[in-house]
Amino acid sequence: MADYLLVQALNGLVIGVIYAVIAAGLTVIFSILRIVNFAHGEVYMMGGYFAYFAIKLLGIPPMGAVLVAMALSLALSVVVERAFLTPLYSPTTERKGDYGILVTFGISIFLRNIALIIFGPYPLRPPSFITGALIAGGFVMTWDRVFDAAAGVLMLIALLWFMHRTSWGEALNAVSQSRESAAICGINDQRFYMLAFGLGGALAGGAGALVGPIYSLSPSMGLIPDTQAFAIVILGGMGSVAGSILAGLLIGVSESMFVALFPDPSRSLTYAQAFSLLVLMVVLLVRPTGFFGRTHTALE
Amino acid sequence: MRQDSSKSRSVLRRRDVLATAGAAATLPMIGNRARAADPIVLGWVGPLSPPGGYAEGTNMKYAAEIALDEINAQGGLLGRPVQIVYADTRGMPAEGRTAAERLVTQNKAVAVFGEFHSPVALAEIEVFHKYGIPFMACDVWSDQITAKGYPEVFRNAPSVSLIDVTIGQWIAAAGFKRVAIIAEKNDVGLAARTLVAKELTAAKIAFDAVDADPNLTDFTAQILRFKSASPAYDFLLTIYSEAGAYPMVRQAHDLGFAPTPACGIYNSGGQAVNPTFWENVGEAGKYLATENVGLPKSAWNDKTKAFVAAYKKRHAGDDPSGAVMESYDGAWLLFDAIKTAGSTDSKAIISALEKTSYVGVRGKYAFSTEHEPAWHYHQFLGAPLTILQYTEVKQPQSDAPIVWPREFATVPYVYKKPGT
Amino acid sequence: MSGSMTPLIEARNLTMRFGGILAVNALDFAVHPGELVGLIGPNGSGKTTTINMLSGHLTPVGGEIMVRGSAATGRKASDFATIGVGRTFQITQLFSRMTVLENMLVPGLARPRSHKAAVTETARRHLDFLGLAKLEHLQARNLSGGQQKLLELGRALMLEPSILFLDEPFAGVNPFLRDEIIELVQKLHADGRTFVIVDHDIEALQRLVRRMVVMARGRKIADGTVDEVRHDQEVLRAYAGF
Repeated sequence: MADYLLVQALNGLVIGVIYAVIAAGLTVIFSILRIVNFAHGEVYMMGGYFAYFAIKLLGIPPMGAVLVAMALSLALSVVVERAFLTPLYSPTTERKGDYGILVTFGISIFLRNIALIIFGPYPLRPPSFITGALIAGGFVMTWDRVFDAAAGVLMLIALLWFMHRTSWGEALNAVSQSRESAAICGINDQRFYMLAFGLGGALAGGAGALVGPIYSLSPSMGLIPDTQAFAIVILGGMGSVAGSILAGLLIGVSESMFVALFPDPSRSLTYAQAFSLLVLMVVLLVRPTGFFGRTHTALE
Repeated sequence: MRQDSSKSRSVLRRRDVLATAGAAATLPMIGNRARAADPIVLGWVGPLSPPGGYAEGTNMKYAAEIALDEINAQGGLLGRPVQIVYADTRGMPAEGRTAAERLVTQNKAVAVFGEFHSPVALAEIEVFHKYGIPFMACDVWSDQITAKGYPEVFRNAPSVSLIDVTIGQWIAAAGFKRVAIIAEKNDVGLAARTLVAKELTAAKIAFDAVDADPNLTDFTAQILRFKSASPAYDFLLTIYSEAGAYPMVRQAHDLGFAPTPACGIYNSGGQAVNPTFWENVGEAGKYLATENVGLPKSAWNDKTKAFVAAYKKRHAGDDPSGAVMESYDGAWLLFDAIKTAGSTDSKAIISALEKTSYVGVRGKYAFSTEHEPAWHYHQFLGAPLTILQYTEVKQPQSDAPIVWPREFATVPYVYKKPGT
Repeated sequence: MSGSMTPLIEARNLTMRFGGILAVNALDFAVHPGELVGLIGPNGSGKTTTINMLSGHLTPVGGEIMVRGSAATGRKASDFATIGVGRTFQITQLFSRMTVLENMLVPGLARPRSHKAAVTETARRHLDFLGLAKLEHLQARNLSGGQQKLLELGRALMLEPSILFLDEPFAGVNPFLRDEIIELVQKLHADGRTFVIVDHDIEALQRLVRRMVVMARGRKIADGTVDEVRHDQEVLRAYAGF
């Protein structure tokens, strides 16, 4: 039994790391631009396809293709931000939150359908990062999943290092706390909005590239992870990257453990996602701002 | 003089009357000439975008396009060109209903065919029944579609009752004793599960069933739970037609659950006969069994061969699946019925379909008019259905050994255990 | 006033409109290096709007802004900050979740070749000057209101501004802190910095500034020494009207 639970928990952690990467990207975008990015799941999807075609057309090895996917996802996000989101920074734009939702929702529909046209409706699967599986007694995990977990953790560490140990990351942090203050400190906020949106997109695209070999790619693959990511961002505390990471891991593990242990086996899989929302509700009842959320947002 | 003028007035009146009558007599002919140039409009429904099964929907649309090109190359129907209006129903019943209304009321379709999702078809048939428009349901398997008894509705695909009874019978014949089932949580998945369960129960085979959201792609936790069960399962039946079917098969293999010498695997729903199956599942597909609702290669007629060649030419060498063949035959069944009826009148088309003996790429068609059991009504009872089991990686579906029903079997065994 | 020198900052015919309201109307205003100017006026006279334009937080609808003789109209607030225009706000704008020291280091992030050690040393020097040295590890949100004002001033100093706009530095502070702020500004002015101070505390300004500019209803109505302004009839009328 202990072996079984360990395997389920570890598998849940792997999924949780992927969720955390996606959610951390969403958090970076929200904390700087103050919008909910409904196209995040589609950038995740595009990242998967970028990696696939980098491998197929350019012969780049799968691991390198993840970096290519991240770079292209960053570029795609910057283009989207420059083309559609600059009205958010204008004092004459009203109801910026609504604007952000509507525009990113439209972009998500556009990306999903353009992917359908360009990449076709058939699921595609890029080659494995590492073939085979890690088998130790009763424990089985494909090397792809092990790689995904390791790469995801590296991405998160890199993100935290960037946010806390580089001047750009510290400047992003400053902009997230007070745009006005950042401006009078000489920080060009528009540059950092672009950076934040691009960074969030790079993380989503990287996650998409990682999951290609284990989940296959399809234009609609971003729908479920995107919904999970919103719940995770709220659970972690809006605007807290560390909170998103912790919440992502928690949701990944709790989904797995729920399926593993729910007494009625015929319903365990069906209810797993509802369970993660239940976790969210319970935590919010006890801690309304999520794990590390602020009690109020700064006045602009 | 007065007499003369009255006489001339009456002559004029007669002339006027004759001229008017002559004009009136020619008007229908003028009208007919105008109408003769109007195309006969048929409608096609199916998923062309998410969240529907757009991969297969797109393939089915390609098949309809081939049929359309062929009929127009022959001069159309009743001296008129044929036009097909394609409606993307996205796998959503509300969209299906809207599309059906639009096809009938705006596009003036005289008949409609297609669809890939039973819940959507169930919404569409209400509209077609309301307007009395004939509908040839293609790759939708829910018994309810024909069980409702609507005279307008026909189906050229098998129903779940046909399919899942066959699967259940095969599982029993193959000797499995304890089955794990993952079924997609929608009408057809649940209906399929129930029907298979009935067969397994009758054969005294133990089973446990789990329902899964159609958009899921990670089944690891569930598969691990199955794998850890005691007593162990010797068969995994996956009733899953969405994109997640591939990761499910892969994950079962990667976790060492199925296929193994101890546990077989089956995927029902059509994904395992898609061209992208092998790219997505790789090694995991070897020894997987699945149904094919197309005609087995041994029963291919000239039309089948011609269609397969035309389809492969258009679509990068991919073999057409059973659903694709149904869509193609669906178009041709309607063309044939209109030709036989000599008109586009709904009742005439329906009557022609009821009497049809059209030979298509899937063999000779006949639609039952029995109401007992209810799903028999307007069902193609002879819908070809075989169970195949892959024995090599990247094996084309048309080359895979057929294991059931035995009259079509191409190998002496019912099930090949991995490693044997 | 050094009339022959290029002004540090100059507003020429500056105008700002909010919908139908003319908040600043054709303002001409120049500040030369080394000046210490008070900017006063009744509520709604356009003082803060003027500062917002002169620090890049608002783009004027008419007129020009020149900084050291070069056109700067329409540039962003961050650009103004990097070309030497510093400011504080009426309601302090700090990075509340950062410590006092971290707040001081933020301006250094905008500079391409800043060395963290040198910047930190400068920051500590300023904090010492402001009497905040012992609080460097405290989160900014945990400071008192007066301490927050001092921190905001210190942070503005980190960009080595040529001119500093202080927006109501004496608002809501106790008399001791007011005196402290006056003394600090005098010291900084003696070191060569130029100040424009907006406030309603005329008494504090009188102790500090040599030149007073008065605005009313968006227009400049007086510009002279404290005495001149105090006896200006239009100024008296403007204040009496409220």
